[in-house]
Amino acid sequence: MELMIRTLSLLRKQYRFLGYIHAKIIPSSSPELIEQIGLLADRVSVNMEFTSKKSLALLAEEKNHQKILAPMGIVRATKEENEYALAHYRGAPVFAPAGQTTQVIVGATPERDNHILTAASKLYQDYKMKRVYYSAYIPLATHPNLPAPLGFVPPLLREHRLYQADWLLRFYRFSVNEILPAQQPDLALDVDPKIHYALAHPELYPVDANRASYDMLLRIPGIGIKSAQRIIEARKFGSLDEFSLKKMGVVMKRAQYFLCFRGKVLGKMDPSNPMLRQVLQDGTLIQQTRLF
Amino acid sequence: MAQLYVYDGSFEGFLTSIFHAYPMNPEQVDFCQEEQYCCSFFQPVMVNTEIQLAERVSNGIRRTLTEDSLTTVYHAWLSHLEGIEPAIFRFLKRSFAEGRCLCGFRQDPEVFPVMKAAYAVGGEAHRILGLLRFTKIGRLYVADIRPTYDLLPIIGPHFLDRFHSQPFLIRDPRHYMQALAYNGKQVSIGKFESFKELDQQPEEAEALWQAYYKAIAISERKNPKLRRQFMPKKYWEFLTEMQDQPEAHKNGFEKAIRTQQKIKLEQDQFFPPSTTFLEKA
Repeated sequence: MELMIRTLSLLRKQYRFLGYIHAKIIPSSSPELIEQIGLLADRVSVNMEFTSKKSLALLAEEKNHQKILAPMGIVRATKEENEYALAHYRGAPVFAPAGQTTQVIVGATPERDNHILTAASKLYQDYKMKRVYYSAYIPLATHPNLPAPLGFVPPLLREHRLYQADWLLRFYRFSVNEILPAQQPDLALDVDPKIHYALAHPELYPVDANRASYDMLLRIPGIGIKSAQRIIEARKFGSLDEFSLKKMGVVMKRAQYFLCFRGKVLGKMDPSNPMLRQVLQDGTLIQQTRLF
Repeated sequence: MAQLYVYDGSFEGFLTSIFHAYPMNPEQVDFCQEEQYCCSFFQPVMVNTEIQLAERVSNGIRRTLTEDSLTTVYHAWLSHLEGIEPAIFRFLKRSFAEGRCLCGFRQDPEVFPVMKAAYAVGGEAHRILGLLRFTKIGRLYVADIRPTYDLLPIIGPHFLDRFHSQPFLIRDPRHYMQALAYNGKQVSIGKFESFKELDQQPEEAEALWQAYYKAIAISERKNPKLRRQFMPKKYWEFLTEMQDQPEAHKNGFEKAIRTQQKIKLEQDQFFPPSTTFLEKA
């Protein structure tokens, strides 16, 4: 840790490098060192690796949750203090302007998706994480506690679905329970989690594009943050039809089944129709899984 | 009978011509840059750029509309798409008539083209920030780009933040042979006479970067389609890590030009074709 700080201060002060630096904090570092490194780096991170205590004990003996969570808490507290200082004093030094992140490994241990996502949402709430990274396990070494490398397929599609669910948590105002209800421990692989949610709740649709709340617009497959905001803005000027929605950037290929304009639905299938799931499947991703 | 305003090609010049054209009916106004202008049947208005008048227009946009509107207009103008200037003029007259920012009114046929052009320019500027590669020549850091739109004026501040005292030069041979230069104190945009490709002598830093790019690649994670989405082949020409695939970026650039022609055709549906008299004759 001290060596890292020396390297970074050489870079920043002697060579005056002003670009982006991401520094990894070593678990159970002291608050003073964490503060020093945060003043030099743009982003800091402590890797969580595994969300369950059991897996962590099996595969990363030197780490335990206490050692990992403590520095995360220090980063959060220091950053909050620093935000106060920046707001009140000119010339206050900036602590980790790009915040903190962490990483979890997916597929090396038996954790289910609901476990991982619950942990992630806690990290977002309790430690103000900017991002949680999910990395599909790719075998490099053999170890009795790891899956055998021969014939192991890295769960890249699962990783992708976890990222999609992560976005739903952070930007689409979903809760873990809505993405994964109690009886469903893993994310569906054939469709993305938002389509899965929409198909599981046909009673919510179709949604009137001219009246729906921001939260409800976000729950329409094919409408993202940007297009939802544009719809809210555009409604101040006049009513919308399907052509104006295209101009907002809405993907009508998916949205048509879940939207209506003055009671009229465009899609030819009802959201409760079991065939719709196949229509909405993501062709490219299924190919990708076959490749590996 | 459209009145043609010929300005010097600067944004201030464009704002000055908007000032002069303001009383006109927007359907009867067209704009042209000096360099592209050769002759027209009717007498055009030759606009003298006056900073005071340009400031009056920009302050008017700022006060009556919003700061956002001004940025939108600037970015849209930078796209230099055919017919964008009259489109901006119509957009501004309409906004002032209503006395509010119309940026959110995307469903409107007069607002949408301007928003779309501005979005395309802003988007490419963001992307290019990650795709510039500097080569050190003596004390100078040089980077070449050939972007779709004229981005030099808006990417400057980002690099000023990073290069505090090192002089750098960003060359864009595609847009009026422009270059953004920084001498350690001041930034300026100028034109250069001829474009000579940098000597591609494998420098140590370049070799290191290429080796790094290869070494961090994880073969299980290769996803060419995703990579193309983040760094389209049209930018590979000047990417240090892509120098081992000269054929690929040549194809990419040609394809980009083809798609751009297609976009231009599509744009014609949004904009009524600009009616310079030269074309009519």
